[in-house]
Amino acid sequence: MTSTLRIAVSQEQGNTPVTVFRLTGDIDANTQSDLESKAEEVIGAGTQNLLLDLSEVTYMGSAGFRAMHAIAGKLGDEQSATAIKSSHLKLLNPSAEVSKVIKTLGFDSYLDIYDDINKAVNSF
Amino acid sequence: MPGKQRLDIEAQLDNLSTVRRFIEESCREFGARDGVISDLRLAVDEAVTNIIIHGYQKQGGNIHIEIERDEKALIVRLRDDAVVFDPASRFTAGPPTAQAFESPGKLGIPLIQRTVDHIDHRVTESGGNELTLKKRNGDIFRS
Repeated sequence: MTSTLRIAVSQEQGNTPVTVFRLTGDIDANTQSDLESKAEEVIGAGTQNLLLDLSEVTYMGSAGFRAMHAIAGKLGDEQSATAIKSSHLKLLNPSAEVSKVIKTLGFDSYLDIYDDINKAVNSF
Repeated sequence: MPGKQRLDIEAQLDNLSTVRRFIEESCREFGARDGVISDLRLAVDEAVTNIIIHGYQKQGGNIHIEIERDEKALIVRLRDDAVVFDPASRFTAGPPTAQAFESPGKLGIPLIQRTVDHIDHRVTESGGNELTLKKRNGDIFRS
């Protein structure tokens, strides 16, 4: 059995255009590159703000954070030696399990996390 | 209900979901609580990922996984024949920095460290690695 990650892409309009990735499946070292590749594709096509809907993500390990770090860099977010701060990449509706991992790594201080898509979209 | 389960896999990233399912199903059979299952599944996934990427340099190899329940703990032993690596050399005290995101092991090991109660490494007789991960603190079993 191989892990899979499906990525459905949609566009939302708030204060500024926002691309939404609705992710379904597992984000592990086997699927990390799928997420990065899709992000690179939409950023290349002009996306400046990306919201990752994690509500259907059943598993996420450190590979997910590495992917997000890479994506934040491509979106032009600040990455110093001691901190990552993202105003162009935000998260929506992580499960309790994924939230626990995010907090365990202290990643909640790097990325804004929302439980309402309208608030998330309008925050960009 | 003491018991033991084993899984042997080829060191390939597309086997990670098989490893996670094995840990989850074994833990359920052993009566572990949900939070314990997710912690152990995460820790083992990170450890196996490190073996595949860093230990075997994505060139393949064997990984032997054993999970055991005794009276008070869940114990996972991972054995491989990759280059010797003791994760204790990468333990961190605080949250990971941005630099940690550039290397898989620099994030994975802090996650392992924060999700299990005991980590032990030894070099095997054949010169490989045996990594032992334990969940033993608190109320880890349903009954």
